[in-house]
Amino acid sequence: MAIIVNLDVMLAKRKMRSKELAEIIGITTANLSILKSGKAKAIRFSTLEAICKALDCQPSDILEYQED
Amino acid sequence: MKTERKIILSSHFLKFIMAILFVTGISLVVIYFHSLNSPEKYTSLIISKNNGLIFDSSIKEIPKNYDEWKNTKQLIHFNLLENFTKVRFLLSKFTNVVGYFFIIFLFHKFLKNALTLQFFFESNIKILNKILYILLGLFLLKLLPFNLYTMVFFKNGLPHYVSKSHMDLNFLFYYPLYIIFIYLLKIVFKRGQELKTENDLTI
Repeated sequence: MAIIVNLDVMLAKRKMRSKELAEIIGITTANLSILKSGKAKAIRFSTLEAICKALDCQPSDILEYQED
Repeated sequence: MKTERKIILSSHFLKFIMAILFVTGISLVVIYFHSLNSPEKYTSLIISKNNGLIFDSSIKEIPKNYDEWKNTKQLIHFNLLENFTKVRFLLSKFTNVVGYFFIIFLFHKFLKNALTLQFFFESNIKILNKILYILLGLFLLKLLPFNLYTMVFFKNGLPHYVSKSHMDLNFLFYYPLYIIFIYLLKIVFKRGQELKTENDLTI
């Protein structure tokens, strides 16, 4: 996949657990797992904003483009 | 709540039609075997111009020979039909009834799925696909010359065969319409499922 989600890396850097993040941003752990595993087809700006706010980072820290 | 009630009502109606079709199917089998044993009970049974099997109470007796038949309304009496024609005719009717029964059964299943008010999933697309194949099968069967009726008259102990046919080409218009409609529905549901998956995977 061309877009890589580095949510795991950011969570490790911030020493935060997935469940905690899911509670803060208001999504289910199942949906967060979909996002982490790269199965997600799209991400809402509101979700991205909430993740960036919770992890105190930029969207580029979470999303990365890699050529196939 | 209102929609659910409508779906339940429609589901009951479909069950009623299924029961009628079931009885019709059984009746066709019973008519064939019973007519072999007691043909006198089927003197008023004729094949109508729409290729339907009807009991005409105005018919009191069957013409005994070809000349007698020629002087009457020239109806196709069930008892006069040659056995192969009888089997072919009843089999075509039976196949139609079975086909319609399964179509209604699948629609009923579709309605049951709709009770959850979620329409766009694989099961519904599979149901539409099955309906499409049944309709295609029935259409192809209709193209076969099932409506050629051969009657047997006896003259001096020798059989005299008379063939008569009722042409009904309405199906050439209706069946492709049904098939196209179900096909379009299938495409819509397939696209709907794709959009639903996309929506479900949007976080």
